[in-house]
Amino acid sequence: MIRSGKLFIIPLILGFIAAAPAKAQTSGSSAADARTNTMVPVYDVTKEVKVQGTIQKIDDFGTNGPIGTHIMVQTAQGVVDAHLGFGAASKPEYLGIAQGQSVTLTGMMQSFDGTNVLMARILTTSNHIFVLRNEHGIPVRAIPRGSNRTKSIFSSGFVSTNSRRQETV
Amino acid sequence: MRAKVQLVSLVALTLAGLMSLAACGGSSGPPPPPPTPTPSSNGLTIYPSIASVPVGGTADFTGYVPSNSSATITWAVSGSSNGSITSAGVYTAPTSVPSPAQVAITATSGNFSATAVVTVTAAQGIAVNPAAASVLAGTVTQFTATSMGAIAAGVTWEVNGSPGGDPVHGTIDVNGNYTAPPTPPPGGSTVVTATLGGNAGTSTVTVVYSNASLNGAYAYSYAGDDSTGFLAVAGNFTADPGTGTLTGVEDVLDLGNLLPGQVITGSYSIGPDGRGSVSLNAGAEIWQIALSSNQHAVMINFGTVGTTGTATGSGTIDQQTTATPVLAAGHYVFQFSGLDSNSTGPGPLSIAGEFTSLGNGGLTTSGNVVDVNDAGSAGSSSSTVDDTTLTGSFSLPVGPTSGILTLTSTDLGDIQGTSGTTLTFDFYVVSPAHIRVIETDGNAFLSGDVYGAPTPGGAGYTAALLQTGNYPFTLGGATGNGPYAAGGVLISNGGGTSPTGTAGSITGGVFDNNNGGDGLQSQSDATIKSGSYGVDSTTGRITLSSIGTNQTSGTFNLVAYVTATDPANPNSPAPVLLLEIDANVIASGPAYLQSGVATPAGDFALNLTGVATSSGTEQDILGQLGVAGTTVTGTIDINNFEVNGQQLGLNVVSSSTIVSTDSNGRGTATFTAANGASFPVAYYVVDQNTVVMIETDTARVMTGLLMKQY
Repeated sequence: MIRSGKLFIIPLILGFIAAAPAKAQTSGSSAADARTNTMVPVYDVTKEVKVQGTIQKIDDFGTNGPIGTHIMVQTAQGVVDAHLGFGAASKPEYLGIAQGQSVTLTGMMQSFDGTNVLMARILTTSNHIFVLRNEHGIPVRAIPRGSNRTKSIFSSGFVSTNSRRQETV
Repeated sequence: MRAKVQLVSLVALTLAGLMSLAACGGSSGPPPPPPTPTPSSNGLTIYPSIASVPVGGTADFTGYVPSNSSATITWAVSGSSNGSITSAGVYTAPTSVPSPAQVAITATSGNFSATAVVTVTAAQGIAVNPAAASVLAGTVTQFTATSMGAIAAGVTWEVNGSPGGDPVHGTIDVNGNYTAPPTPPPGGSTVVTATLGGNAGTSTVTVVYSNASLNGAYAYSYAGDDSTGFLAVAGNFTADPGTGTLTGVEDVLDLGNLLPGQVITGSYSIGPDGRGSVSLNAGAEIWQIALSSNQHAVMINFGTVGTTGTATGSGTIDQQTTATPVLAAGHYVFQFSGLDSNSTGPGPLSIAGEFTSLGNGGLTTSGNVVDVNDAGSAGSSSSTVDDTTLTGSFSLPVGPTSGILTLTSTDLGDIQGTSGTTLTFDFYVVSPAHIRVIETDGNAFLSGDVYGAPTPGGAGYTAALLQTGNYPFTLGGATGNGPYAAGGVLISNGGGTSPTGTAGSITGGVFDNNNGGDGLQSQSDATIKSGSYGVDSTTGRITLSSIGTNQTSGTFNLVAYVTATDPANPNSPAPVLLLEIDANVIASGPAYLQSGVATPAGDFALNLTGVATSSGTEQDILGQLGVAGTTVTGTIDINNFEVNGQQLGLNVVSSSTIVSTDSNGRGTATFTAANGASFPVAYYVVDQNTVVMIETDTARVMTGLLMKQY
């Protein structure tokens, strides 16, 4: 047990990866998942597609489908609306992406109110590979190496509600 | 703000009645309209907001500006013959009843103002002074009784009709020295009575919170965000109201640091509405808190912590019970949440389970279980649930330090980034049957609670463990869309006609969710139409399967662990710890057996915590709300991590409203702050003291809690 006040070995800084899948990612596809909440979209890696193209537009507060960072990617087959995730760690400045940049995305297409959106799991730029989601479609926080971690910009991006509220009276 | 909301309607009714009486009294011509009491308007509150004072008597008023507790208050009385008031807020009634008998007392501070109403009455047989007063919790106030202008000797003093008083309403000695309780009594006020022979006189005492309301030893924990992207803190402290200081020890855990056993010292100040501020280590850590009583409070980090700089977070503070033994032999259940340490980027992680303590520092090596949902692992083909290899050990704290708990299991070793199969935690004691834990090994980033669990019968646990009734609940976590919150009411049949079996049904209820705030895939007021559950007779682990509603064709799955009523807090509802075990939703939260469905009424401490969808950053809301009918008033504090902005003492504006509950105890409400921030929620009543909720709009994804003050 670490009892010092020193820094942990911070796995976060390894968020930039060399395309090595995480342990659970070898455990099987989501298609074989034993249990899912079918009230919300189910991610299925067997239905993944890979698209390649040029970023035509970046919307870091997209409302066309899931709220979060969207990029419109011009591909040979047309424009693809890709959702990169939710929260500060999916912001363009921290992924180092810009309009006109060439990217490759791996993800699953989902329909939101009639609009097809690529729920991107892996983003590949000219010099980085970011895992944005795991094989269940759950966002993980890909933090580029060398990013400025001294600012208050990273968010866990989820609602923390352990059952700590018991004694109310 | 306290009692003011309840009193608004009371004042209106009272004035209407008095006006009729005045008209019957034969006064010539219509009297002028009575003053309209505005006990909390434009950010200023008067205590008490209504009072009755006999001719020549006195009343002590207090003004409070929630956004500036040290603001100067200026007092005024309407009309030249309606009495006088000092700069300290001491009102003296005229020597004869004015017409009308209602007198407006106005407090002003800068642009803020509020009005209280005094009804001047005829003299009583015994005159008690002050005839009305606001007193600070835990303080002593001298009352005097006079008859015909002379001190009345030998009077009997009562509080709330009880000679000498009681601990809830306060006590009074033979000399009229009234000692206020440490927290406001039910309704916020009480009556002091002096009797002598056949004569009596009364004084209405409004008790407001003070530093004495936070007194002694407390344990606390909160979770949120700092510059590293995650923050959890647990600790304990001792508060000294005499000096307004506190000292203690805490563990701070974020993605870059573990700071165990940090000494904290600081100061605190509790306002009349129960909201307060705590500054630790020369401002290195700042909290806003809202007391429900001298035993419990909700809290938010208000902008900074330790060495990590800016921060936010939400949690609770509970008075410690020092009785021993802690973690005595018996059954315990737990639920922790946080992040894993996946090398490709931390993912959301929640675990829950059950263990049996041997009471000697060891846990049994069988009969225990843990469920792990690490970024969806619970629902994967190699599912990390129902792991019965769990065992562990613990060592108890010495003095104010933390204890240590270790948990070991196969699936704990499967958490992304862990080394080995053991997780180690520090823990701080709330009571022998409730500890707050925080991970200290660097494997993952977990914090949560361990609670005592019911003892199984001779045949082990049965379906009756999830006893018949309604269970309001909330869940918070993440999905592929981003942050996720769900709430509702699950109705258990307790096993139906076979409560001694191990199977039961979810027979109905209601469900709301907020999936990333996108509004596209969220359900609102859906009817639960399906669900079943099974109970493990050895561990008490409950699987809640295929819970479905009438608004989608989908279903979801949970595990649940039932806690036992904590003997140290017998009036608090015991939570059922929920963990979603699906691959695409990582969420956890509490459920409670419902004991009433009435629309909330009275004064409450508020906490909301979650994520702002505009930025994906955390927001934490603390407040004190008064609910009367459909009206909601009060004050809230906001820590908006998006802009690292803290807003203190925002008035809850008049557009705020609450819609009454349905038969499930579900209702809706909207709290709107003076800065325009609006929080529409679906809420679920647990009992008259406890309400859980989720925010239902696209601006934020949040879960929340109301705790009754009085």
